[in-house]
Amino acid sequence: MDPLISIQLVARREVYHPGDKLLFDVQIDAIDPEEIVAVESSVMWYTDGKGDEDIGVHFFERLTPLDVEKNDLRPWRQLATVLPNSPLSYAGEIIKIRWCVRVRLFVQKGKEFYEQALFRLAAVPPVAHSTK
Amino acid sequence: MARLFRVWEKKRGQRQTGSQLVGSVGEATFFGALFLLGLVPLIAVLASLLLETSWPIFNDSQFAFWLVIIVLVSFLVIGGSGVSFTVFRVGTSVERRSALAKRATDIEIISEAMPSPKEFPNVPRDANITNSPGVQLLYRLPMTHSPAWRLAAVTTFCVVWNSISTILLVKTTQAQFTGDPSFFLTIFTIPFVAIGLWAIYHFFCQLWQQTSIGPTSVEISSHPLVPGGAYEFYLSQAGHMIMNHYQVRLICEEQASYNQGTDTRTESRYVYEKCLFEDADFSIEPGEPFVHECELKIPADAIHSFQANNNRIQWRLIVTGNADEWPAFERQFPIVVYPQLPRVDKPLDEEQELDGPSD
Repeated sequence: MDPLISIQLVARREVYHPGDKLLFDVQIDAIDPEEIVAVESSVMWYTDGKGDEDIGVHFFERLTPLDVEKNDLRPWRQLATVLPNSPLSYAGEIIKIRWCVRVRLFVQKGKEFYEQALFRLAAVPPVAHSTK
Repeated sequence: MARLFRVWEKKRGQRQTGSQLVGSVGEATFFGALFLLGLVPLIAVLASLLLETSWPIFNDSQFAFWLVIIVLVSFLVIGGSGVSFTVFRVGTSVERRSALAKRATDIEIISEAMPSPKEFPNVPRDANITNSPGVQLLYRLPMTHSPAWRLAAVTTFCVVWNSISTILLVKTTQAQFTGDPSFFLTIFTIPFVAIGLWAIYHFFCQLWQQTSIGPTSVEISSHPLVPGGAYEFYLSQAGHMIMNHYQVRLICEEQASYNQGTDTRTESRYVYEKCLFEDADFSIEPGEPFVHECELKIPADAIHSFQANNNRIQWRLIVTGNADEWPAFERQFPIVVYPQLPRVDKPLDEEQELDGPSD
């Protein structure tokens, strides 16, 4: 049975803006703690479409069992990062730019598993000016 | 893995038919062998130097000695870096490699030299655009492919080719006059001279075209541009011609590159196109350039300029013209569109406060 990687965006919304604080929870189940070699959590963008994939990592954290209490990387953890100004999410004709939170789990015998949660980094909406 | 191998087409993409680990082991073995091929002989040569024994292959030649040292050191460097890179790549995820590369670019000295500013990752810098002041407006936009380079290329080809043709022609003529003509030399010289004459004709055509279709100058009131922004635009077209059609367009182009076997192919697509100005049947006289001023608006929902290794989104102004008795010309002026700047004082959303476990 493959291990279960859970990712949840705390704000429970799909759209974020540059400068927003992205909070997300990570939890790992269905695996013994001794089998885990490392867990990498990333906030990143990648391209999709006709061209070869480009990726850019904005936030990255790699933890091994020695870095945490009780050498157990499974329990719920919350991570946060402030989102950058660019690149914004984009759905074009031959290029798409997608943002996601990706968690990669490394286990014994060189195996690895990953899970990702997509979100959209959109342009800041124009400020509505009001006069009184 | 594809079920059928297409014989006449190169593999596209990053998929592999075998184990990635086996491939990495093979790669490390190759570079390791190269490293040893450089290390062992280098140790032998240096040892002989210390023991003051000579090698027959050097034959007391300093040049041969240093040439061998350079070759062996290059094997060491290539082999050693290849092994290190392969081992590093096997043990690390793509995210970790990207994060390490990003950490290196965060060093201030390096970040200044990166193609994108730190505040706007993967958005091109506009230094090449804002380093040229305009006459009417703030900035003069550079052209992507100046016609002067084309004229220089044609001139170089013409000079080089005709130099060779002249030598061949002189040799052939001499052979004819001395009564010892060479059939093959004559046959070889004829097409050479023909191409040389065509090169001279083409050079004068290009020269005449460049002087008649004069320079195009585009200026803008501000840079970089942002979605929803409106800017002043100034155009000046010099030359001596009767324009059948003249047009200025704002375009956004997506460019995607991919590897297909050993080839790199690039596909482009215009995803936004707007005509800023269009006119027909007017003449441009020497000393009286055609000028036009108008407003340039970037759509509010426009995507910003983007550049990565394999994918790009580029904004450009394209000037096209069709003049009497001249081939159509096109001149492109790149611009950079930045993302809309974020709000500075943004209150935290209530949902963003730290809570307990979500389940």
